[in-house]
Amino acid sequence: MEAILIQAFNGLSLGSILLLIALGLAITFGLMKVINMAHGELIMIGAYTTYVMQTIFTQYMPAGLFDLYFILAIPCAFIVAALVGMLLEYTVIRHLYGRPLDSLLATFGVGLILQQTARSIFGAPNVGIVSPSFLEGGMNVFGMTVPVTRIFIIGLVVVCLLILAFYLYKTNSGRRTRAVMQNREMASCVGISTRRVDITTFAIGAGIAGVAGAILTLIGPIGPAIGTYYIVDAFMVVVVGGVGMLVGTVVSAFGVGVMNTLFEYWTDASMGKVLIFVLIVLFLQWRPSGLFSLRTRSLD
Amino acid sequence: MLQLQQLEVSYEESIVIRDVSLQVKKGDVVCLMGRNGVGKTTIIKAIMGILQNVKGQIIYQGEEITNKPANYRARKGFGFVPQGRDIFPQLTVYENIILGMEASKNKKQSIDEEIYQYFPVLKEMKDRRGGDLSGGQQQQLAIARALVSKPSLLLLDEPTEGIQPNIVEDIQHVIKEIKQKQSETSILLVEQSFDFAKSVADYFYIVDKGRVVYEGSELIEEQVGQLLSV
Repeated sequence: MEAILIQAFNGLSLGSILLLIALGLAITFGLMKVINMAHGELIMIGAYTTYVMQTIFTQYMPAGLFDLYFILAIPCAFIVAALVGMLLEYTVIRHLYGRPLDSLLATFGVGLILQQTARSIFGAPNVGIVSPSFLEGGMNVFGMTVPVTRIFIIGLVVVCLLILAFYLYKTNSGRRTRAVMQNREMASCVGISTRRVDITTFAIGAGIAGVAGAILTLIGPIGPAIGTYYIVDAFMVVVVGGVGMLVGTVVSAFGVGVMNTLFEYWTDASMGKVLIFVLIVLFLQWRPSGLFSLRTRSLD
Repeated sequence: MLQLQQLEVSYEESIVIRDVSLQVKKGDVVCLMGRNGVGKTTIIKAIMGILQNVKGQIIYQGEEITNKPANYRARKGFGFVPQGRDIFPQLTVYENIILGMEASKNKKQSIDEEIYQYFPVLKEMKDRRGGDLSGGQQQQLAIARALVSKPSLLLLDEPTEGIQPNIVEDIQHVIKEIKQKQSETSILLVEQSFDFAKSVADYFYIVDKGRVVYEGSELIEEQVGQLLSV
């Protein structure tokens, strides 16, 4: 029983990482119908930003401040990834709205370029970071010992989710974003600048991917292909959750995360993946538009 | 105030509106009539700026706006009530109305109580999602959303289509009231009801096959009946 509980907890932790990655994808896909294949590389950018922060701190800062680097790395990863995302939107994606296949290919190409750039700057071998001291060790939760990093990750994801929900549902620009998501043409007719909404939303989605990258450094090595490993699962989460629905993404992220870990525990790593994909395929036969979908009685 | 000159609109290769010139004077209610499929909605959409391939000139308050995007026009004072209402289904009624304020220059984010006097039902339902309202309520909401920014030009595309009679009366009453109370506001109205059009409009244009075939400040049934009947 305890083993299963630990697996469930690991699943929760995997789910929260998937959630963070999928959130960015879900809002860009929901808003602009653009499948951003370079999303994984935005994760990579966040991860390398963390690595750079660590390098700066070890070289130029007193050793006593070392732990601070990770706290600072999270907002930095957000900003750097968001800026790259804005650049990507402005130079490439903007010209490809309404052409899903072209934008898919173009962003895939951009992803490869970014990977190669990282390889040129940081070298092909993986690099690693030293966890800050406050994230070391274990913690007792319901009689189980779990690593503090995992707790920290779940907490951070919850904070990100709350901030995003607050932005989308309580602020003026969030309201504009939701209006554009639901009816782009009408949104521009009431005076919303859809261009500005597009670029801001894309930047936020990219920034969240950056934060996800910063978190991933805590549980594994950093390499140019760090994003590609998670991106397929994140796409699954978006599809299962239903496009454009925050709550759907949350439910399906934890669902996929927990199931994935449990299946891998009962069988083995590759069999677990097969099972989860079979389940998703079956699920989509039953509900092609995902767990939650937009349904209205508006006149068509 | 609003002037269209030699407007030509095409969807892909086929031209659907040819050489349409019309004008809306300040404070006037202008009614655009015609059978289904002759291009009334296309003209309205071209004026609002949500169509590509618009040739000719659209001039508003002395400024040429033919190539300006819809959000620019909204900020210039265009209020748009599209056919099919196009409210934001997942947003609450309140949020829908407040989005109408995007175009207004003063940035205070509060709704003028006047709107609720026109449509009291919207106040009762302000926390419901727009998509859950009935068709008639959605239409009222769409009109409220357009009115809240105090537009100088209101574009109404068949506001009474497919709606129960007593709400039709409400809407007609509101249009009449805007005409009386807000002398600054011009209205361009697409309308099928002959009697209502006659009772409210100052000027009429009848469209057929993408052209203006009749215009005048009177609508004489004998002359135009043939253009409007099926």
